[in-house]
Amino acid sequence: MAAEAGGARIRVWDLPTRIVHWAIVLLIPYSWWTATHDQLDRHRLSGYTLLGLILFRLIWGFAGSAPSRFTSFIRGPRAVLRYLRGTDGPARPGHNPIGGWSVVAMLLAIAAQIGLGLFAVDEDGLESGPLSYLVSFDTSRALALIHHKLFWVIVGLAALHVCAILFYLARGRNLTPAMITGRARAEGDAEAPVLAPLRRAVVAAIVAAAIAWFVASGLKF
Amino acid sequence: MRQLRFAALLAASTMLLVAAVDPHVAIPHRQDGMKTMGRTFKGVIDQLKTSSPDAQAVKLGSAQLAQLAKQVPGWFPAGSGPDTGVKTAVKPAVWTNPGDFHAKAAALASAADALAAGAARSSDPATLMPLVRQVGGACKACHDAYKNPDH
Repeated sequence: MAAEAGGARIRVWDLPTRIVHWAIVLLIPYSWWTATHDQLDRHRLSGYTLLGLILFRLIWGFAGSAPSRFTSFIRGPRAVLRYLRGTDGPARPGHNPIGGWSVVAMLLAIAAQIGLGLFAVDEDGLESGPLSYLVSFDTSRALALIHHKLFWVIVGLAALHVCAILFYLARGRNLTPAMITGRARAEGDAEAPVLAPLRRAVVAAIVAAAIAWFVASGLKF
Repeated sequence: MRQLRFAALLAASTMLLVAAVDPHVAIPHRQDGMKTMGRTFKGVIDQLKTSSPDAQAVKLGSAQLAQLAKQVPGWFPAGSGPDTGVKTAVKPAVWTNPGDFHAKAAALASAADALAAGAARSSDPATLMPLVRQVGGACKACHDAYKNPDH
């Protein structure tokens, strides 16, 4: 640990990854607040924005900077066990093997939550997701009830995520500044990862926004 | 004396009516009715969301909804409350605050009538959606006051 503290500061999280992260942090509580305060217009808008962000993050998981790519942080069970035993070798910049799976779980849960919301309808039949016209009232209601329950799974995953941050903080590693500035101290002699050019993020954002817009319009032009 | 006998008869028949309410029948009947209203209402809204609504479907659905809305007060007989052991989301306030409950049910009935009247003339979403929102608002006003949220 002491040796790592002296490592050079390298860029780990690119700007798009950080924007997506903090936008999700803001929009999930906002979605909850608007849903519980009868502001379904704003709730839908928040959901569409999250849909765009998650779509962008999926694209970025294949085309983004090295630490943001799924292939760089989704590791097999052996790597997870090695990490837990402390025999995984020097950490690479980015998510550790357990953190990677935590990211996958959160992204999947949020994606599923958005998908459910698109088909949901409230008990009065009035407030509904843009794709609810594709399913029956009973199906739509069943999905809405899962939508309510899944929220608490997301809260649980977010709480676990914050606990992990606090755990590393207690062990002398503050992970939060890296998600704000993008820079972290390199461990050992880790090399700075290759970051994707910003223009690629602009293209990915346009594609994600277009798909989100199309879905929000009920799959109609 | 005659008045007294009438009052006694009325009381007895009311008690008989209350005793005759089987919550195992009345509560599922209410729930079926509400779900049918939800399905019917959603059918109308789904049509109005399309670029060319089926005028006949909108008209029929709205007329059915208006008929169903009139039945709502009858779905809440005394003895079908939350204390029967049969699972229900209804709040006891339906029976402790009957004036307001019936006012809200009447508001739904008149909103549904207005939608049915509108749908008989037009299937234009721009014309009907404000009426749809009135109906949805009437549903919601009553649910907020007299129904526990679904879990």
